[in-house]
Amino acid sequence: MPSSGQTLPPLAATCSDGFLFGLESLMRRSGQGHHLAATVVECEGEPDLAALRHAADVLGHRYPVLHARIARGGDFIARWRLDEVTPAPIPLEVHGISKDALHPLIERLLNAREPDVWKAGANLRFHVVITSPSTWTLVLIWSHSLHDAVGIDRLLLEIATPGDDRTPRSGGVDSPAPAEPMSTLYKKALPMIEEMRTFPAWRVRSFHRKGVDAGESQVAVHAFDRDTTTVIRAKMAATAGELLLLPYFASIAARAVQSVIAARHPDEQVPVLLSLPAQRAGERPLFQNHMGVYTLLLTSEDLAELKPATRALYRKSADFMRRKLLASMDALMRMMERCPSRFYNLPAFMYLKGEVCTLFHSHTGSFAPGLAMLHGSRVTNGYHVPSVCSPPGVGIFFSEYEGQLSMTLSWKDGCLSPLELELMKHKLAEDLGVPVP
Amino acid sequence: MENELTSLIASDILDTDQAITPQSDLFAAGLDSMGIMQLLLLIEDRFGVEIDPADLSRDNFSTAEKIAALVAEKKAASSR
Repeated sequence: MPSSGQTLPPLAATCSDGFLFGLESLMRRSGQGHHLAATVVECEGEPDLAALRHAADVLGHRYPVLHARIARGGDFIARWRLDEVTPAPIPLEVHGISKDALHPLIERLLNAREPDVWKAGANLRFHVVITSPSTWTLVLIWSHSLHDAVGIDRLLLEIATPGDDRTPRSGGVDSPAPAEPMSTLYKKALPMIEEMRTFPAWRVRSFHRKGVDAGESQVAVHAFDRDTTTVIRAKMAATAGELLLLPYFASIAARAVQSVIAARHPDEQVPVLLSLPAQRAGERPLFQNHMGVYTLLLTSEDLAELKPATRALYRKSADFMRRKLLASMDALMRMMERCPSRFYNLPAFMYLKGEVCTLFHSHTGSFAPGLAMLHGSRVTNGYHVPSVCSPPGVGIFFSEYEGQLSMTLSWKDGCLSPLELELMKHKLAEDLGVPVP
Repeated sequence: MENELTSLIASDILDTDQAITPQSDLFAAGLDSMGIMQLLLLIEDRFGVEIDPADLSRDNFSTAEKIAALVAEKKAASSR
């Protein structure tokens, strides 16, 4: 129970949080670990450990949800149990390692199964990594069931300027819209249900190998320098225009993944089912995921060339928006909010024959806009490193900080062989127009 | 048109507390890749014009005023 002061009511998990809770459940049942991600902020100078500990203390008290477990109540709706939280600082650990050891450390942290949102205790961890006398890196380890990249970007700004206000607040949507009658929800959800009924004909495949247990998370991060980023952006401007970053990088990711699946199944015309983030308009709280998901089918014809692939992807996502399928998906999630977590994956397993999608992709755009300094140190680069589940077994993520593009490849052991990883990187390099080591 | 665009961008696209005017720098206010896609769709639906990828430049989309000028130009070209 809270030690003192204000007790907050439980915070309901809504819409895509329910689906992510289902993915978390899938990962745990199939021994894939927890649905964790890392956020990496590289800095120049020496870390001000006292200021960082102060930020960890203030934010740990300001947002009790950072210590809450998620659980279903008597009405079966999943809620963050803020009413049973003892406010405490966010844990902070200091490491002294070389820069070459940074990504292996992140891989270890992602596979360590902490934090655990099913138990009370910290849901966010600070790791201060001192990589040289004049460089250090802040690594945040967080659960995708509580945060997403939008929320973490905003939280980073609070870490940089935490102030002293420890007044507890939920940081989420405190008063979600009251549930509508099931008949009303069903009418809204029907377009998405009908869309799902078209899935079986698509014959989608992912990197998931039936009969092979997906193991630990693997990641490969490549930070392109500014000159290389300029080359990539110039090719993008000539191919798809200066501003369509999301469809451009998603097409590149889809073509890379398709090249590997096509090599596995040379006799098939391999389509790609892309899971793309869709940002909702309106209030964007710190906690609760902001992203709905588009499920876009890209045929082998769509993906044959990069430029038309980008256009096809844009047209299909526009069609998804125009048919208001995101709102329809939200209604479906509301219909399912009292269902056990494993039920969230059932429609995908029924309609997609065991596949959730072919790959997870996101272009998060600018990394933490407005974050230039971190407690006296200049921020030199930043990016997110999400782990993924199997299926699909692979995720490709791009983000940009101050003219520097970073690419994260994330996959599960058992889903991608070393040779296939090389093939995927080769295709990525061909489309990006620059080498990918 | 520019006032309608400004109001739609402020309510449906951007997540900002600052007031948006037709001259506000939309990229500084948080217009990102996903916002651009939503904005293109909104322009197609509301004004009935399709924006060519060649016109998708930071300059053309930096303010609601410039977007309105581009949309007006496209409308005029399609009615010729």
